[in-house]
Amino acid sequence: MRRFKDLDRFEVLCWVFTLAAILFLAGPVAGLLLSVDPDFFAHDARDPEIWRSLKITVFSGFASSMLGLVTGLPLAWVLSTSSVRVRNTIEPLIEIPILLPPVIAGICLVSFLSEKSIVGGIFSRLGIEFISSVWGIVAGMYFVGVPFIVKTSLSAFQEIDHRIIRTARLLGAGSARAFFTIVLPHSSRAILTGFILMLGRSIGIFGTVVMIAYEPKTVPVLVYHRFVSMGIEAAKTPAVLLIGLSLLFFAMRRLTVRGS
Amino acid sequence: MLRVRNMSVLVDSFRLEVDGLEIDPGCYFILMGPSGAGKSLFCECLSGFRPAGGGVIVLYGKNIGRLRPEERGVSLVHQEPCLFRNYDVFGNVAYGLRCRGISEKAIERSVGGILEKLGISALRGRKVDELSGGERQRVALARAVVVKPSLLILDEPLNALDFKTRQDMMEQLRRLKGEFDHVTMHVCHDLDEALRLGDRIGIISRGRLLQTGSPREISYRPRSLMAAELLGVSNLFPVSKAVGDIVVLEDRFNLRYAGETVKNPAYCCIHPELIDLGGTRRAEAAYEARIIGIRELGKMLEITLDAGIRLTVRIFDTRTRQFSEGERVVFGIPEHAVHLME
Repeated sequence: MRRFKDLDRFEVLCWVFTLAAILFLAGPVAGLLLSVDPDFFAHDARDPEIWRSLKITVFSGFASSMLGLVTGLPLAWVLSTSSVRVRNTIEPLIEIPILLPPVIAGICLVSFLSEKSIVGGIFSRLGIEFISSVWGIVAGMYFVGVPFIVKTSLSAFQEIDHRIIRTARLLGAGSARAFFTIVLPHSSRAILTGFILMLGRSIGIFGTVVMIAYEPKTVPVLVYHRFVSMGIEAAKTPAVLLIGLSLLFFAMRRLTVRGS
Repeated sequence: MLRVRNMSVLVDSFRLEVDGLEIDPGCYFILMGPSGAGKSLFCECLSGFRPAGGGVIVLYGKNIGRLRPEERGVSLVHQEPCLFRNYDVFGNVAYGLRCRGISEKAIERSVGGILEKLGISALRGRKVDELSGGERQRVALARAVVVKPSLLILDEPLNALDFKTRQDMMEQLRRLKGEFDHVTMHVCHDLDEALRLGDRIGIISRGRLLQTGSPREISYRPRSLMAAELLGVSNLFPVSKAVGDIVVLEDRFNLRYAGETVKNPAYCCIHPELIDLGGTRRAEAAYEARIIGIRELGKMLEITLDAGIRLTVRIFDTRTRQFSEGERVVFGIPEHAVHLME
C-alpha cells in the first residue's frame, strides 16, 4: 500500500476528484437515511399502502426479470451466433430502452399497448389490459430492464470458446442440448448478474411505469405521490424501504461477481 | 473408409479444393500444411460446421455431406482440450454416451474402460480445472474415442504440450491406433510427429491437397517444390538443365545421375543423410568439396560443404571419422539420394 506522501501531484489530484465523486454518489443516500426520524419511520412503515406497493414492485420486478430471462437469453444466443451484419442490425435496437428518456419510453409503451393499438387490442381481447394494471407495470419494467440481461448474456456467450460447443455437437448433442448443458452452465454467473441488474433497475424505474400505470402504485410512484401530496417527510419511509431493497440486490450482485 | 470428392469451398477470397482423397479403414492419416493452408477449414467441412461446397464426403459407405454435426459419427480433439467445466472428468467422458441415450450401467463400463486404457482412471472424479495440460488432453481424447466415432479428427492435439508429455501422448496415440478401426485424421505441422504416427501423410497448401503417400514416400519423394519446402527438405536446388546423365544444378554443379528418368526436371533435392561423406558407403559418383561448417545436433553431425553449391550432409555415426572446418573432402552422391521434381 502506497503512503500519501509517495503520491505525485497528478495522483493527488486524481484522489481529490475520486473523493469528491464518492461524496456526491454516497452523500445523498446517507443524508436521506440520517434525516429519517426513527419513531415516525416505525409508525409510518405500518401503513398498508406502503406494503401493498412494495409487494407490487417486488412481484412486477421478478415477473419482468423472469420474462427478460425467457426472451433475452434466446435473443442473446441468436446474436452471438449470427453473422456480423445481422448482429450490427439487431444490437442497436436493444440499446433503445437505455438511450430513451424513461418518460418517452412510457409514452411509446402507452401508444403500443393501449386498447386502441393493434397489439394492445389483441391482448385486450385475451383479457389482458396494460393501462393502469400490474401487466402495464411488468411491461414497463421489462422494456427498460431487458437490455441488461441481453447485454450481459451476450458478452458471456461470446466469451465461450466456440470449439467447446462444437465438441459437444460432434459428441451427439443437438443445438438445444448443447445450449442447455454447455452454454448456460458456462455463462451462469453472467446471466445471474444480468438478472440481478435487471431486477434492480426494474424496481427503481419511475418515469416509464408512471406513464403506463399510475395505479396500482409501485414504490417509486408512491414516493412521488406522497412527495407532491404530503411533503418530503411522508415520502421518506417508502424511499428508505426501496433503498434497503436496492442494497439487497446490490449485495447479491457483489456476491455473484466475487464468486466468479 | 473416408472418401472426399469434388469439395470446393470458398471463404472470402480463399478457396479450398479437395478431390479424390481416399483413406482406408483404420488408417492413421496425417494432414500436414503451413498456417493458412486450409487444414482447419477442411476439418470444419468434414465435421459439418461448414457446407462442403457441393462435394461428396463418404464415411464408411454413408454420404455425410449433408448431415448435421451430431449425426456424422465424427469426433474432434482440438489443440486446446475444450473440456466442459461444468462436468468432472467422468461427466466429460460420459457426455457423448449420454447424448446417445445409453444406459448408465453401460456408460460406467465404457468410460471406466477408456479411462483405464489411457491411464487416467485416478482422475475420474476430479474437476477439469484441477488437471494438468497433458491430463486434460488425455481426457479430451478419451471423450472423443469412447463414442466409437467413424472419423476421429485430431486438430494439432500435441501443440500445447511440453516435450515429455508430448512423447507420452504420442505413445498413447500409437497404442490406440491399433485398437480402433476408425479413420484418424491428425492435423499437424511437425514432420517428426507425422513420421512417427502416420500410416499415410497428406500435404496441403494454399487450399489444395498436393500429395498423399506413405511417410517414406512423402519424405523421400516430395512431388512439388511446395511440398518439399513444407517438409523442410535440405539441399533443394533449381535444375538449370539436364543433358544425358548430367543434371546441372544452379548453373555450376554437374550432378551425375543415372536414375529414373524425369521429364523436364525443375528442382532437385539431395537427401543429406544419404550423401556418402567419409567413404563408408560406395558412391556412384565422387565429388570434391571443402567443409565450411560443422554443427553438432545431439547424436548427429550436420556438415555444410562448399562444392560449388552449398550442400548439407548429416552423419549419424560420428565415431568413424573426425572432420574439421576448412578440410577438403571427397564425397559421393548415391543414386537413391537424388530426387528430381518436375
